[in-house]
Amino acid sequence: MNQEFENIGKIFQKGFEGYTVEPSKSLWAAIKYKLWLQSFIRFGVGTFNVYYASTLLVASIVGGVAIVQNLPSSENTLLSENEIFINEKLEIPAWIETKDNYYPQEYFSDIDLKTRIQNDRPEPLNEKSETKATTLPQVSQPKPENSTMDDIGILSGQPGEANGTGPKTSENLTLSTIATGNNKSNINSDDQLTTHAQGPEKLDLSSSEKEKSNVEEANTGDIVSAKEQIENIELPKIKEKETLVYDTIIVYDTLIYYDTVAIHQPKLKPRMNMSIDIYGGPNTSYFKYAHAMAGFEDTLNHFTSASSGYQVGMNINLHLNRFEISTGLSYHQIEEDFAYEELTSENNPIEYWRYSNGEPLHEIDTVDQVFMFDSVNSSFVSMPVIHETWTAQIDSDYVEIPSWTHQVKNYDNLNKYTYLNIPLRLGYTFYDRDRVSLAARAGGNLGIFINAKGKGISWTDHKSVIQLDESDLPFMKTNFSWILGMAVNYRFDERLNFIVEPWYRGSLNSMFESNHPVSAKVNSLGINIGLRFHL
Amino acid sequence: MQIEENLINECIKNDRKSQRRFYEMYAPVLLGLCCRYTRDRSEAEDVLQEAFIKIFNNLGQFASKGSFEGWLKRIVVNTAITHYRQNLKHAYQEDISEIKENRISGENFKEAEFTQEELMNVIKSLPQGYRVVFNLYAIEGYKHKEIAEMLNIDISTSKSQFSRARKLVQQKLENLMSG
Repeated sequence: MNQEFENIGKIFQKGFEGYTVEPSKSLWAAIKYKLWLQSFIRFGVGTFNVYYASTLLVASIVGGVAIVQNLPSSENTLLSENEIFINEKLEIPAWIETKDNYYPQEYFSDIDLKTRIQNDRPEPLNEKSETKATTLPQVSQPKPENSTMDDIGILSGQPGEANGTGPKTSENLTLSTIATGNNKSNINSDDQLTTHAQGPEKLDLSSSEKEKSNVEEANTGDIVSAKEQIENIELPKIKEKETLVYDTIIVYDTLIYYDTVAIHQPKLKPRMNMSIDIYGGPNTSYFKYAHAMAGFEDTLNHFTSASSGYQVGMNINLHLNRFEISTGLSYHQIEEDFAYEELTSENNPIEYWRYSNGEPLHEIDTVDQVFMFDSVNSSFVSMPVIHETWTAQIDSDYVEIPSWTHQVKNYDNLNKYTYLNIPLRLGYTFYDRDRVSLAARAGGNLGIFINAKGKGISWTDHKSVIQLDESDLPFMKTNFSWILGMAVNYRFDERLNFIVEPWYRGSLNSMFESNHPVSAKVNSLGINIGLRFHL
Repeated sequence: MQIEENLINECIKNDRKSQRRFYEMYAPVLLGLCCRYTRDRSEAEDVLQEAFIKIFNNLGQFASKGSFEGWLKRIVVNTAITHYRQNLKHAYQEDISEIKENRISGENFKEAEFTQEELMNVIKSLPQGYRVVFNLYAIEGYKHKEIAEMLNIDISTSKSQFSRARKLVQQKLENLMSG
């Protein structure tokens, strides 16, 4: 190093000794905000973060939806205390129970369930509602020829009686009731309403027969109630009651006269069942590397890219009305593209010089070889006279040919990281119509590391290539992550569903142990396709 | 030293007050360092902001071997280099082929004294690539091989850039001296 440079270097080194610049006041605020944002995004048990916030948000939404669904309708609350008119659209159940059996509701589609109770009727029976739970499946059966209701008389017209033949409906009927007294509506509209008509012999009216006869007397005219009509139909035997599985609640509402059909399900009884999912599907994983040295961090992120892996697994789900809890086991292969140019240098035994138009890099050199092997060009090079000293000025046309042979090795391979996953998720079905339902699912995942195969860049020299499975990379044995999914279910029948679920999983910790200088987080986006079997 | 260790430990625990004390302790020195690598103060503060985030995230990895301030400076320099590389494609390449071949003797500067502001202006007047190499080589003391690796360039490029930077600096110092 010449004197000139030493002087200049010293001038600057000395000049900048203790050199400080006072930062602006807003700088700390910006740093503080970034630190807060970072800690908010990262998972930490003791800190409020985006994961807790998301959980709270999901819980609030689910709670809100549940509350809204259970609120009484505004129509009911606006009615006067003395006269309550309820005009609720009710979904007719798929099955209707008769004395001996259950039949598809469509068999009774011609029965009008419109009932009117007037103020001048006798006091309603004070008997409390009777609740009975039975089970009923939803299966489709051909409608028998003899089950048409066209020629059956329906409720005939006296005030206070069930009235007129209603429109033929197969899915929804209107139940209209006027009740007296301070009683509010006894009829709720649950979209999952499942009920059935009940024959008169099943009515357990605890009030006296006298009261019953009073009621009958008050109802002048020929009344053929809906339930009587149901009983009078000749229906084929379809299924024994004992084999039916749907839970229903039958309520005999004493505010409605016995000659009416009460379709009433105040609250759904919790319905619990289990199912098993078998699924598989592709996914894409994104690696995010971090290192204290920015250059190496950039290198790691630059030479690796997302690639497609796959996942196969099985879940067991516990369903409680619209909620479900699921856990299971899956085999997950995460894949990563590794495209890297490794520069290796080999030291040549002999140095030599060559003319070039390159930059000036030497001043005085001595050459003491006549022939030498040029390993770069694989040829012998003849050189000037032995021991002759070459003197070249700065900015001459001489350039140093490094005494190294550089080789570039191109790597383009797929790294594979295999995990055994144990997810635990909570789901909520927010849409359920006909055969299709949609469910949002969120939860956590425990990944158990199995193995890693492929290549990576050495974390010690930051440039050589290492084998993942042969190196002593400290992979974490367990990896925690969060999962979000949106499942679309298509019901082939009550037992078998087809499921498609796009999902996203975000890693909560590095795949390497915390004391390792490199941090790698993996986020995956995928889709599961499979079958669900209801038990 | 004990105070510094305690402060570092508290910073690792994400204690904001300690982090602020730490920031107040080191920010002026590190911002001075950033200013040498960047075009203006605003850019220097951006670099320092990124650097402090890295410092707080990696404080736990400081192995207590060697100088702590050296470790901090290394992170800041690396951040500045990353910033430089990210902005490289947008950088305006100045034509510096016309450098006068005046033979300037370094002896002239032996007794000369320049203020920090003057020296900073000289550095800031350098083209960006030269400024980085000059800083790394002449002031930080990195070797050309290390600079080449850091900047992902050839060793010869590092050397030639430094050579040209040195000439520019010599000229500017001469100008300052001549008045």
